Amino acid sequence: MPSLKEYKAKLASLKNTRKMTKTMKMVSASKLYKTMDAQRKASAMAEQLKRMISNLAGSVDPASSPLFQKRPNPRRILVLLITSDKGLCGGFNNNLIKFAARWMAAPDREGQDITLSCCGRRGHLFFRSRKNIHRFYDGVTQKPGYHHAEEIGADLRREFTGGAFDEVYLAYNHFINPISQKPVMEKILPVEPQEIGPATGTLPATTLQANYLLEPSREVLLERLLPMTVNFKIYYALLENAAGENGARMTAMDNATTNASKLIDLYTLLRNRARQAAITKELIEIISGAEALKS
Amino acid sequence: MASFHLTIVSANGKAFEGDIESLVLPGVDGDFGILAGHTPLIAALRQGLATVIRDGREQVFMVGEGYVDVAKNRASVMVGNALPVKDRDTGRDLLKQPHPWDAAAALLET
Repeated sequence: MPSLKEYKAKLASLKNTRKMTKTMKMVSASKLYKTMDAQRKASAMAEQLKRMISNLAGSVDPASSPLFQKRPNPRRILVLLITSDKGLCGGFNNNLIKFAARWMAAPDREGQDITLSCCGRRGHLFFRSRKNIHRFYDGVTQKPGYHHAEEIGADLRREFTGGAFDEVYLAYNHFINPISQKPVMEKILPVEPQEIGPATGTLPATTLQANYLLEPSREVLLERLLPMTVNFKIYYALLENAAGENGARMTAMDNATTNASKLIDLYTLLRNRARQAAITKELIEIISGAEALKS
Repeated sequence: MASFHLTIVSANGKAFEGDIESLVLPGVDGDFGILAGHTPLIAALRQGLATVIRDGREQVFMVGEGYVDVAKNRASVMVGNALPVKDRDTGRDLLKQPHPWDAAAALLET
């Protein structure tokens, strides 16, 4: 049986652990709310952008932009994998990595040349020895900014239109609520014309042109705004990843705190027992000593 | 002086809202100004500096790519990023840096 002192040391370390996990949980919770707020703002903006584009798209042939261009038999695929930088968030990154690995190993992908670009260290650490890593964007997943998405989006578009890749996918954890995330794979390039929407805008194409001064022309305007929708998708995925990471960490740390509490209860009991045993032992020694003197 | 309503919205939320006297924006084909009663306009914007005159005082914002929509004496600027900067000179210096947004955010925090 371990001594009283050993129990005390164990208890002290357990209490420290619980303090840490509890704090991490609270920090994640506050970060989660911040990210969710950013998500709300971004989706409002994306909505407006979409409306403007569908207003503008009106009669423009969607095949005009190179971003719409579908390639027959896509062979070179780029996957942008978004994971977190840090661990300690349960199966959050693992689930996505496994999902992505399964997706890439699917039989209908045979013969395709799949390359990865990574946001976030976890995914990069896993895949760097297994797959072709094209680019690694460091330090963008902790606190995602729109300008990060802009940079990434510019790289992707350049390489897609340049012909280096035929299709570009986005792999990330879709944020359902703080306790559940779902790994998803989404095609972002080429852009599907129906995503921009048919001319559902409130303004018919002709009235728009008659009533508005367009600067530059409608085609050029569309050409400039279309890339923004791609950027927004990336930005939104980065935000979902950040929200999911903090949500997952919150749950993981909550579990860790509960487990630590259970262990603390157990060890307190054991410690008390050990203390009691030590007292009893001393008493027996004293009494038997006295008895020995008496006789 | 006649005024009109301006909102600057970025991916991070509203950066500016209020009645202003004049506005200068970085259009893709060059900077242009907007005063009250401007004809309806939709224009694409490049990354650059937006100058707002409100109550005779100048306010400068660094804005990213996006567009402006002017109609019925209201202007809405929709850009990916927008951050206030001290003045045009600071803004121009920031834009020359390799990572202008990180630099501008760092400047705001100090």
